[in-house]
Formats: sequence, C-alpha cells, structure tokens
Amino acid sequence: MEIATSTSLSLPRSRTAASAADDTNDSIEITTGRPRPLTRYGVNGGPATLRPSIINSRRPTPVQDAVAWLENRPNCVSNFLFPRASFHLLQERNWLPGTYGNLRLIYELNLNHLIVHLASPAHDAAANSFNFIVDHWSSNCNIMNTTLLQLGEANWTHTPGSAKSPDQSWYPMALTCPPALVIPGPIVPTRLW
Amino acid sequence: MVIEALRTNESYQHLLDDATLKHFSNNTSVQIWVGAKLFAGHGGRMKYMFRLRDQVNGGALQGSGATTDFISLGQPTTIQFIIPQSRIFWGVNPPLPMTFQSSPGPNALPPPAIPGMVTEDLIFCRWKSCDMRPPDVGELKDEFIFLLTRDAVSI
Repeated sequence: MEIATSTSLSLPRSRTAASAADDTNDSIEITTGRPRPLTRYGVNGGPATLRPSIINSRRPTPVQDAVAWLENRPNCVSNFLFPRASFHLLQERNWLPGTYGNLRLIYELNLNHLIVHLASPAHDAAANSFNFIVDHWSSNCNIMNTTLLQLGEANWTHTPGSAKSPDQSWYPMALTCPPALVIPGPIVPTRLW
Repeated sequence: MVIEALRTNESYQHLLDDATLKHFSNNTSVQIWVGAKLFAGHGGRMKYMFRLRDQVNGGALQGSGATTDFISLGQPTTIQFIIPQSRIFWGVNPPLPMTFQSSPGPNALPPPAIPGMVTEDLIFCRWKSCDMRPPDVGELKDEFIFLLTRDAVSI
C-alpha cells in the first residue's frame, strides 16, 4: 500500500448537486422513489455494512478507501502492486494473456492495481461503431485526406501509478504542442494528447 | 476525442467517474468523451452520452454534452449527437480543416439553436439511423445490432 498512498493522487472531486442529478438520472431513488440503498461505505460516510450496489457504487474520496474499493472489485488483481514501468513492460513484452476464451482482455492500471476487463464482441462493436462516421466526416465525404488520426486504444497516464486505455480515440493530425500535452518516455513513443 | 464502452460488469456511475477523473485528467488533453453503456435488462438496452472538458477547472464541463434515454438494442433510433467541430480540432491552428457538412435531425442532442441548419459539426449517430451511410454497409449494420443484442442478452 505504500506505493499507492505515497504518490500524489488526483482524488475524486466533490460533485455538485446539479451534476449529480444530471449524471444519476437513472439511479434507484430517482426512478422509484425508494431511499438510496446502503453501500459498503455506509450512509453518510459511516462504517461499511453491505456490498456496494451495482448502480449506486460511488468511489470514496479518501485514498485508503479508494484502494480498498479497488481491491474489492471483482476484476482487480488484489494483493499485488504494479509500478507503472512494470505495467508497461508486461504489456510491451506480451507477458499478459491477450484473450480468455473468445473474449479479449484489456488491462488497466489504477492506483498501482491491475484491473482486468473482458472485452466482448458487444463491447468492441459499441466502441468501434463510430469509426466509419468519424472517418467519413473528417475526410469531407472521402474527397480529402483524413484530418483525424485514429489512435485506437493507446495507453496514457492520468495520474502517477494509473494508466488508462480508451476503447477508441482520435486526435487531429495538425495538433500543435502546446497547447496539447506531450507524454515523453524512453520506451513508449511520444504521443500527443 | 475518446470513446469508452462499458458492458454490464461496471456501473453507469463508474463510466461517468472515469470520464471526469481519468479521461479529463489534468495530465491529458482529451477534449471530448463519448460513453456507451450496455444494460442487460429488458432484452438489452444501452445509453449513449458525451461530455466536453472543462478547460479552466479540469474534469467534465458542467452542463456540457448530452445523454440519451435508454435505447433498445434491437430498434432503430434517430437520436444524434452534435459534437462541436471546434472542440474536435482543439489545438489546431486556424483555419480549421474542411469537414463534411450535414444537417442534424429533429432528435439531435443537444438541440441546435437553429433547427435544420447545415453545420460542419460532427453529427454522431448509430449506424442504424445514419442517413449518410453508403448502401454497401447494410450487412455490417445488421451484424453490429446482432452482436450487441446477442451478448447483452446472454449475460
């Protein structure tokens, strides 16, 4: 736990009532009028009592709770901490299995914990369903060279010890830096984000 | 611009938190986040949403973007997203590249200020409802719907 707690982490920000109402408009208490169910963190920050609800599982704010929340996730490799360099090394040398049965495996590093996602055909279909539309739009109905470069699932670091891989991504080919950020690295090629 | 798809093993709130904390982190320059959440109930449903970056405070811009209602996986939809061209080409020196011009439909989100006006913004829609698709992608379209339906129902 020392690795995860000693780094400077970007903690979840407090959400305003307006944004919460906008983002949780399908939550239980709004749609059915029933009170919010107890979560693992209790009510109003009280002691843990129940497993978190699938719908209302909110990330806790303290770092210790965030780590405990991560380790209790079913797709988290618990009891192991992965430095970011090791995570990149595992991926670049293909030491992590790529598939499980007919499902593709996606790896994500969160607070130095390895999160394993199963990408099903439905997941890939949803993620790639807009490729044609974006390419068609950016190339002006295929009469110009495309102006957006498809990056795919490139890994990037959002906080120290945490890497995220989007399901699909694009960036303008004429993007300048600054204002765009550069993620330098001796092994990972420089990427603009 | 990034797209994040979530199946039924993670919550809708998790998807939105990922957008704010990870994609719109201060260490990235991601400007647009599009999310797709698949639900297993009711024969398979999904929600699409997008958000824009708050360029001052970081995270998602309050009140930006749009969220659809539940969409059945097996039914066509006319819902579209209007994603600003200026955000897609953020960081590009003007003039911005010429892009495809189209007119958003009546169910476009967020609703345009002048309905029916031709715009260079990106009109995001599902293949099923995309009016500008060429005719030879019909089989792919059906396969896309089939894949979504089959997997969501089998969970």
